[in-house]
Amino acid sequence: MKTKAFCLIVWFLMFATSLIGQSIVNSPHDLSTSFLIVDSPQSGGSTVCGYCHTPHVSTSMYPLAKKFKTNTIYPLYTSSTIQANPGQPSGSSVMCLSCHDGTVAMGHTGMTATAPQFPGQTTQAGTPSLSTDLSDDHPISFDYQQSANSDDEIAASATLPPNIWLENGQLQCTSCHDPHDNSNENFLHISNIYSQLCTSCHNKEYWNSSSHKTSQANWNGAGSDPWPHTSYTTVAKNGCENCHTPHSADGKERLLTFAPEEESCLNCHNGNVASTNIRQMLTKPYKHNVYNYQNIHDPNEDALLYSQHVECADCHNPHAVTSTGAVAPVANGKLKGIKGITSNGTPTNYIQFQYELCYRCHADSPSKPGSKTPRQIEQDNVRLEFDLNNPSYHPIEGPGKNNNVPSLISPYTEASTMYCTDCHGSDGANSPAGPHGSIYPSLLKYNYNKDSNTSESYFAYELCYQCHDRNTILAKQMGKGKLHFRHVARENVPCNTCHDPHGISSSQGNSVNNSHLINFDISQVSPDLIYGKLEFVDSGNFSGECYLYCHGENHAPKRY
Amino acid sequence: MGERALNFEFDLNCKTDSNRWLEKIGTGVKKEKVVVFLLVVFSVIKFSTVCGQYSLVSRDSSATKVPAIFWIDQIPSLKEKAKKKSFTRRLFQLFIGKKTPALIRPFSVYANDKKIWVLDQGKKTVLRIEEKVGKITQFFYDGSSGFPSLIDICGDDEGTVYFTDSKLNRLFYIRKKGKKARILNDSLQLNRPTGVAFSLKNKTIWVAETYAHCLTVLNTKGEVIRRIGQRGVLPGQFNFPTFIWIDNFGTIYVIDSMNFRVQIFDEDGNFISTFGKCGDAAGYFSHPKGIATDSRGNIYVADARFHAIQIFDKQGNFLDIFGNQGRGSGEFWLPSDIFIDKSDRIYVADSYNRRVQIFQIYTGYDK
Repeated sequence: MKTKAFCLIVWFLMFATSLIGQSIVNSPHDLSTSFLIVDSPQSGGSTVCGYCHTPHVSTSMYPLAKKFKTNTIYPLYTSSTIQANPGQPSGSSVMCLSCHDGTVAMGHTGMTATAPQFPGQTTQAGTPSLSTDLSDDHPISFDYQQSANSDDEIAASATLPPNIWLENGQLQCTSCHDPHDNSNENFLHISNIYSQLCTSCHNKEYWNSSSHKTSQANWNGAGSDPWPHTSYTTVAKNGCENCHTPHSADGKERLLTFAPEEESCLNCHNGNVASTNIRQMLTKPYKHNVYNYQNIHDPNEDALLYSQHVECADCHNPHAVTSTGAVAPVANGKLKGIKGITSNGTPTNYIQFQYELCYRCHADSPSKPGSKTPRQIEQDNVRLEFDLNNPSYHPIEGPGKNNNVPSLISPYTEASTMYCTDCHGSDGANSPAGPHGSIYPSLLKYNYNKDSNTSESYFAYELCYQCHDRNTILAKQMGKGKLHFRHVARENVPCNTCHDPHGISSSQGNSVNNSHLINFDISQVSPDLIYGKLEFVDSGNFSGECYLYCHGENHAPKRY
Repeated sequence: MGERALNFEFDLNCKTDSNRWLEKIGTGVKKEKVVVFLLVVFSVIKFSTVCGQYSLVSRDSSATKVPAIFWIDQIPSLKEKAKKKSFTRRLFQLFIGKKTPALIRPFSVYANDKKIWVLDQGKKTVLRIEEKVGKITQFFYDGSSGFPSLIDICGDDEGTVYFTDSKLNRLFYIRKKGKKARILNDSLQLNRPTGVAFSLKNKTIWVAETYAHCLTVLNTKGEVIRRIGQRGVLPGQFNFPTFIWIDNFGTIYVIDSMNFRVQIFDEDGNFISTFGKCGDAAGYFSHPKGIATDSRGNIYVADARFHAIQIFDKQGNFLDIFGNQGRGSGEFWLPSDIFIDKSDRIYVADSYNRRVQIFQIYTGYDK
């Protein structure tokens, strides 16, 4: 009997504490002056409720200034008959914001100045949506289903879990927050660990397989806290909140935790959370300088880039990235879900090959950077330089034209293909992959000397020698190596003077004059003095002739 | 000027009650006589009740006059005043752009010396608007970054303004011709400072420390002279005090927000009186915000959830209410602070309508 009674008491206590734990009493929303639950005469005798739920009085005080009595009762809980403009809180959110304005409770629960904008309904091609929206908070008081209709990545209101609720179809503060129950942090309906709350409404494409959703990486404690607004300790637990913050976001437009927007990436990708240190790469002199551009990238911008810019999100889709590897030319998981331009120049929303991403800016884009070497045949459009119909090209889009390249170092063969990033990437043996930053011009991975009179060494043409064997190329005895030895080793002519490493477009060159990537650097080579020709003529296997004049040496022609 | 009276509804429907009584009595031969008699009786009763009500007011002679509120203008202006614009000015505007301040979330307003000061929580800056010369100056925190949580602004008689930021927990000041906002007393850390007011009477700054549930009295150097009050519901105690107003006599009016009342103190901080109750009807408080008094001592309280301004007399008798939720002139969307200048002009920070509305009080209307 005693045990029974004891059990009963224990059960009751547990029940009671759990009830209190889930209630508003003693939560931050309990504004009563006393620890004990007592009727506060001021809050209308309705204990903790009256602070928000203003008690109903049947008659108003009669304004002495008015001649006759009018009974004015304010409808505080029903949604107003007048429609709120975008940027104005309506419904129960008015109740929240009347305290959460920085006085009684911390504010920053702001409003969008314009209607919330969703992908697919926003900006025109090429015009980045410069922020007129100065709110740093998640939008509220808008018709949820209407936004779901215009955005595939917003769940339909009918499919929302029961604890995400809409007020008259509108998203309000109470859609995410339950002001009565603080058992989940921040009065949330459901805890946002692993971004459960965010993903109830937001179905970001690819998100479920993204590294930012699955990674178990922690912050090593060095540097600044990448997650200042959450208490979660891994990338997976933070989920959306790795980069976004629903209130008081520094990066207002996309509610990014940090502004400028690259800081949202670099606060983790500095070796403190992610193992690679991209921040360090971006301190090098030659880089894709994301610091130069702010809030220019727009997820809705055209695949073909009209205004020159580079942001992290131009090359990486943080909602999609994975660590999946790939073989050239297929793009790996780091570039998943990114826009690009295909080899025939058509825009695609999801690249298949890595070069398609590079073609966004370095091919048909009107504001692409020009080529660094003045050549006989000028071409800035790298898509045309790598076209498979060209007389010669490095094998980016597919295997090269020349099926006899003895210098290739195993495992490369004439049938191999390569990535743009095999040449263009961060320098240094342990640097993270990708063209983030390098000490070498043109963001090259290795040294590549282009100046005339360069004395040959492994280092001088380190880039070329990664795939083309130095000894084979410079061999004196073999016919095929002899001329390379003569030019490169003895006359100190750099590779770049005769060879155009990208390729020669079929619209400009031909397979007689421009095979073997021959396209002379006209700052070093000029037409010969007899015929006035600057020309290479291919006469078959390891033979040809050259017409040119170079540093006192006249070829008119020289045959081999 | 497009003025619009917002109160004074002369609703003369008193006869309807009398007619209803007539129906109950029934009709007889001496109908006319009954009608005349009853009308006389009812009129006398009605008149006496009205007189009875106003006798409450008339004890104070000044309060026999009831304020009439007229809408005058708003910031930013509804339309650019086209008249009297010189050629050079138009040329200037062509290149520099129009100097109408776009507000995002004006939270507090103060006007003095032909300047209007606005704390904009959306812009996170303090704006000084000199309308006559069309000049707008923005003040930032630390030179360039924004103030995270601007709350209230007041000014002294020398042109210095003081304002609070409830997240930085600091009191700031800008001198009359100052170009920067500076922290008042670096060592002064307040606990959620919100309302601030300057007492001309004894040259002190009064700050409501909302989380400390007290009023803090500072000298102009920012040194704490004393703190008044503690958490509680008794007179002189506070539960989240927010906005403060000090009239020319040094009387202090405090919004004791979560006790849903106004408390009034004398210049030395001694409790005088209190009024106000929580309720959803006119004359009660739901979420009272800014407070101010006019030249005749009537008290104006903005209530964010009524989207209206309520007027009380010195004793706390409810006089009138104006405004409702909406975007038109004279309507509000979560009004926050209210300020009344020497010429009885009311400035209301109409926060979610992104504007400051300006009204004029006319007091020459006798009842």
